Amino acid sequence: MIYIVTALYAEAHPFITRFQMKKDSSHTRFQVFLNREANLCLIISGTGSVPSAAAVSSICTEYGTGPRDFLLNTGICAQILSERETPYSAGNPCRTGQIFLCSKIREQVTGRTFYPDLLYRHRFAEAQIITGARPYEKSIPAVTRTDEFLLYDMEAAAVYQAGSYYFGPHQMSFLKIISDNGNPEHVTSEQIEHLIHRNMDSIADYIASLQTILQEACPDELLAKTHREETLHTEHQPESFQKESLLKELEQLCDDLHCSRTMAQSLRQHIRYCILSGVDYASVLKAMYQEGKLPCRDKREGKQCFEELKKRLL
Amino acid sequence: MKSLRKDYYNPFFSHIYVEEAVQDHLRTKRILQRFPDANVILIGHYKDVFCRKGQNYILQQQSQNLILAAKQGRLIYEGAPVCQNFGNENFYYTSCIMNCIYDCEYCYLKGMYPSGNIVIFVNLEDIFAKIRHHLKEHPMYLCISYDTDLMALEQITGYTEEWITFAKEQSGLMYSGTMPLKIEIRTKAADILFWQRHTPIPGVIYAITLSPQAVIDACEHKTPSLHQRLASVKEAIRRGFPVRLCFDPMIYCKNWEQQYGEMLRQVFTEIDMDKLENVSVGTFRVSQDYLKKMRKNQPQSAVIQFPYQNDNGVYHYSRELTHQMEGFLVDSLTKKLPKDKIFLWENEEKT
Repeated sequence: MIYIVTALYAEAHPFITRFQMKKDSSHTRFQVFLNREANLCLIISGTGSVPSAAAVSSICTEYGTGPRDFLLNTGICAQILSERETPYSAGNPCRTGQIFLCSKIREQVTGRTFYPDLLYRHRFAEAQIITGARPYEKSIPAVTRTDEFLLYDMEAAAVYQAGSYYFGPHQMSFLKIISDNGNPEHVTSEQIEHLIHRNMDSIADYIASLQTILQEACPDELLAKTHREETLHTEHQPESFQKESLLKELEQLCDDLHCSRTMAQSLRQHIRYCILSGVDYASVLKAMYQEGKLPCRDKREGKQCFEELKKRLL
Repeated sequence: MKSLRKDYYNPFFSHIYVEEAVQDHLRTKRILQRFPDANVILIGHYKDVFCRKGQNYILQQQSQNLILAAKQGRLIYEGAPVCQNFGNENFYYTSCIMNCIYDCEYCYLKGMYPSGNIVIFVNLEDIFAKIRHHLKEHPMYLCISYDTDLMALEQITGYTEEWITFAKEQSGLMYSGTMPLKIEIRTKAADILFWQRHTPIPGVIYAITLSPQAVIDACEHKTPSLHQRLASVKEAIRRGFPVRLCFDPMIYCKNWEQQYGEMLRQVFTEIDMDKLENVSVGTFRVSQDYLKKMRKNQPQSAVIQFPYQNDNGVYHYSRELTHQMEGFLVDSLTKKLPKDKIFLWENEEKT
């Protein structure tokens, strides 16, 4: 599932329309829209750090997250005008409507900085963003002006921090579209919707890429690391090792060998290795059953039989 | 099927994180010049990026980025017990680079570091100063390519050359007729041009790891083939560079005897064994903490999922298998080399 977090309905509406998302009316605290076939879930958090962190936490807890999920924070932001001309500002001080992928997120109030991974190809310009507690206004010296080209919003740092309880840094992206340069009172809902809509094709392409990456490009071995939902017994095991029939077969073998907990773990590790390295463990087991060495009568015999099995397998 | 990795992932080193404190450092500028198209992101401390929680080492390795930083705190470490000292006292190692461009499934770095990105410490001068300080007290045997493959990154960093120059400068000091500083550069790289561009320096030994081609194909991704490595070794020896061949780690596979036998046949055919400095032999072993993480990161890797035996926190093959594998290699090598040139990690003594 790709979780899209926006602060405002005006930011969300182009997504809802584009992806034909339906409102999930079971949620009362936040507005949530879903398209299960497309694996998309959108939540409207409200403006600011606390609402956005609460929204991320709420939706991730509700739907559960794993290695095939992704968090996308998108919406409008301000552009902090630098005191000198930058490649972005040259000849056009405010880049209204331009979309950026955030490479660095600084939380203004704490000075902490966060870095989402930038592993995937994209066609956006990249920029750093500062997350502040109040709207950016030129008249308020809320942000120290620097030579750097900077964006300013009120959610990104909070979304990252809340998101990192559920996602790794490779599972979070922040796409921001410049709406103003410090005069937020002039930005209307219609304008916001228009700005998002203008960039919707490139955002949709990015989402499509993410969906492919999550579903196809990342085989299980690449994803298993951050899967926090797995149970103890199936943890970090190859897909072929999780088939129900195999698990039952292993359970039976453990019984037949009178395995202790340690022996059972060792047995599972041996079978796992055999599957991965193409050793025909089934034939070895079959032979041992045919020879009457399995099932064993007691723990003592089981231990001896296990030693022989290990030798035959390797 | 098209390679999704190629299509969807950013190219290697598309982003370079640079600590603000070293952005004007000469080595930083030199490295950045090699990547004119990279996006440079200034950071406060390398750990802000390298040590983030929840990173996926394996995914990051598909699109590795560089982090340029200053090494602080401890600059030189005492040699670890699982590493060989080759009979040298005062055995140390240093990490001027963390992580590797090669992708060996069994590499302990996958269990040791939280990130697949590569950290290059640009303040080599501080490490050199520390070594000079040590050398006033005693000679040193220093391994400089443990937590990376220094020679594989040579075109990016030029660090091997800097270390060679440094070692040469130290050669004036002598302790009872022995070199004050011995450096081991361990590598799987096979850049023949390197040997043509440099001259041998006393005290700098090149430890080149060899594996059967089947093991290279299965586990040592992105590394040169056995054929390429042997060609490189041959050229190094021909030009008088001191070379140590490392058959370490030996990796078990069903027909390991045949695979390692074939590899040795190629080695004996290609390499003048009399001209080798020495060889090292050792089967795969790794600390339990690292293996636990490696297994989690690579659930589909046979070499990592092998049912190793745990003794005192170190996972290794069973004693019987270890003796069989190491014994086979040592016996074969003994036919071509005097015993005092063959080192086994197990007892850290000559066989």
